[in-house]
Amino acid sequence: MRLCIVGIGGCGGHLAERFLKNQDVAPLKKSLGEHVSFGGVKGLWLEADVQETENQSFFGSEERGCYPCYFIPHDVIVSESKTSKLIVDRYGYDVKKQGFMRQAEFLKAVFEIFEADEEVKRSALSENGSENPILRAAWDRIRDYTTLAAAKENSGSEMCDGILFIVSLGGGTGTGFVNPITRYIRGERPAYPVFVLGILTEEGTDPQQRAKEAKRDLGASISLFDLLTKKVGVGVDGVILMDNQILVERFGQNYPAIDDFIHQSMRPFVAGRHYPGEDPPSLAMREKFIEGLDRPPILVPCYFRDRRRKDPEDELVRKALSEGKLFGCDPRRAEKAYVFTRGFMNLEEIGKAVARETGLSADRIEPWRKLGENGWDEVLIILRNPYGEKRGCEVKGNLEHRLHRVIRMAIRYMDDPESHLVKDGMPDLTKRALADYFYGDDGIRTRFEAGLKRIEEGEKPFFLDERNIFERSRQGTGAHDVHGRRKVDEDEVRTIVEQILKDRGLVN
Amino acid sequence: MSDLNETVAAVQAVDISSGLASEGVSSFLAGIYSNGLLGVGLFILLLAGGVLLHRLNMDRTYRNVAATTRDGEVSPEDLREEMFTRQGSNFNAAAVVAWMLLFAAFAYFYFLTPEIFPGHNYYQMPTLSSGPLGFAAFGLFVLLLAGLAAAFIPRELYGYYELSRKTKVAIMLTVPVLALSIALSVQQGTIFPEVDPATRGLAFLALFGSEVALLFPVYAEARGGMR
Repeated sequence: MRLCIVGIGGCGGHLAERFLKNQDVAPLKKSLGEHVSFGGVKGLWLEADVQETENQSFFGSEERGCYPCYFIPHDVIVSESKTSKLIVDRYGYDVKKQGFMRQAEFLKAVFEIFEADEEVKRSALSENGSENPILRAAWDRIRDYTTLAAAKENSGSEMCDGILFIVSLGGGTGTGFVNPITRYIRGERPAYPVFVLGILTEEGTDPQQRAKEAKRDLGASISLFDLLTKKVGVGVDGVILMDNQILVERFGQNYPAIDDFIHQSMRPFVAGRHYPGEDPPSLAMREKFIEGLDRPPILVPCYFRDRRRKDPEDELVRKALSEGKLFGCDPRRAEKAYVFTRGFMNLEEIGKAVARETGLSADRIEPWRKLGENGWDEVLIILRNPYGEKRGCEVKGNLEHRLHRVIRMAIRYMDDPESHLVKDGMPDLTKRALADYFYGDDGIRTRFEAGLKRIEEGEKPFFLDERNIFERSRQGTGAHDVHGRRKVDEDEVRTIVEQILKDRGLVN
Repeated sequence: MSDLNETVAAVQAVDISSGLASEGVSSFLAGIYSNGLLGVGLFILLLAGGVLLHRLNMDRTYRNVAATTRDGEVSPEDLREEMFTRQGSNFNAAAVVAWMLLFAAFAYFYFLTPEIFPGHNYYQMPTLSSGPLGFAAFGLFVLLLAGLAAAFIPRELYGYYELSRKTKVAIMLTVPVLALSIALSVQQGTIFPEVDPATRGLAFLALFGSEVALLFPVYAEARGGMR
């Protein structure tokens, strides 16, 4: 398994930096050799805010051929372009907006416009050569690091066979971008392994952007809802959840230390140096994660490490499942456990220890072992859907308890008149769509309430059906392709292609 | 007045004792670096220890993996392949240079001037030592001899360990440190038959400090494995 790490937004960028850090030493700050990341991962940072990219020095510009690089997908749309103007005039959204300040619905709306509005699609196709140029551009950059790359400069074994998106749940860019991009990738590659690592922001007011918890929780709820309600093959193959609240309680507001710890805890997952014959491809990992499910699972990582000693399995597993949970949960509710170890450990002993702590049968425990380093033993246990207890939301420390709070806060924010989720200045079309999306009979508020009830009843999954903002506002007619887009007829394509070639001076 | 006298006496006593201590360290150091057999023996012992411990580390890893594998059957080749870690070309290049310089610094320290091995040194070759590029030719000759070995040592020695960036930096820093050791030895060769003990001591410390740094990952892994 070799993953392509894609950090989206501020938090995603900070974490991607940890994963992509060059293990080689470059004395003159610029490496003269190839970039060597831990576990052989590759990747990039997707960001919407130019200033954010200028306030850091790790990622270089993709345009200048740097690696690791950042890429601003919205840059493919020119400010004065017809597409940009059309979206502003018709919907009131500025696709060139710098950052999204905790507004998950902003990006969700923008990408739905590209999927739903035929005129926008035609305009984008003629100006950018793609109906959805922002997502196309982002996917083109990501794909270069994967086994799907068209021109394989490196040998296939060095390319990534799966993607891990890293986002903050409750931010703006990551929260809003992760769903559209994964959906877009799925339109082209239904079976390519795509996982998400989502960091739920902590309780209380965010000290950096002063964003209220309720506002962030609405973004997190929308993003989680979209991630968890897409069917397997349409959405992602697993959402690995971490709770910043747990990390803040451990490290205080020291965010670099938190980022370091998140990376450290994920190292057994991405590390190389496997036990011979125990290196599963990402595709096998995907199959294990989604086995028997029709929707992506919630995956809770539990991590612990200790100095190397004899027979470490029992202690490591016990501590990982008690002290090392990175999102509150009841391990005895887990459907399956995927165990990644580093150090010398016995398969049977790992299985026995996990079975003892979780009550899972041996066939529901999947261990993979890797060699350790510097005298440390490590274990990362990823629990699949470790929730589902009736009234479990009343038990502090449970997954149900935390997510119940997040969804309740989201509803509270939606009900707050000061939230202005449907802004007065927006065109009527958008206002109607947003009002319907948030507050309609079948809107997201109703669905969140249904989700709360299902959590209280201990049902899995708690979110059921996907909900779009513009699904009722503006649907195109005619035949659709796998992306849900109308198929353009041959003459239309010919005219557009000729126009593009003419614009670029390739034909007279 | 008597207090003042006591203070002065105490200060003098401290001065004398610290002077004696540093003199003691210097003479101890001089005793080691001027003893050719002891120095060469130590150099070879550290190297041989590194090679031996590397073998033991590899064997222990194999035994531990085999012991935790169901039927105990592990292909050593497969395990070696899995264990191999790319350390990066900047580091690899620096490590090759460092190992070449280690042998060169060793040769310059012990075999340039006749004071340590009067019968085996550079001055025994009058044609070379009288030439304008004698020192350089001597160094290039040693580098060529050591080059082949140095090209393979880093891959085998560092390719199977997880090296932290700090360890890599320490190993890479041996390049300037060894260059300093060589420069100081060259200076000794230039002023010969005079001897500057301070320069000689510094060159010695730079040489053996670098050797320890270059072999550190192997010794550290061996220490970790003994727990």
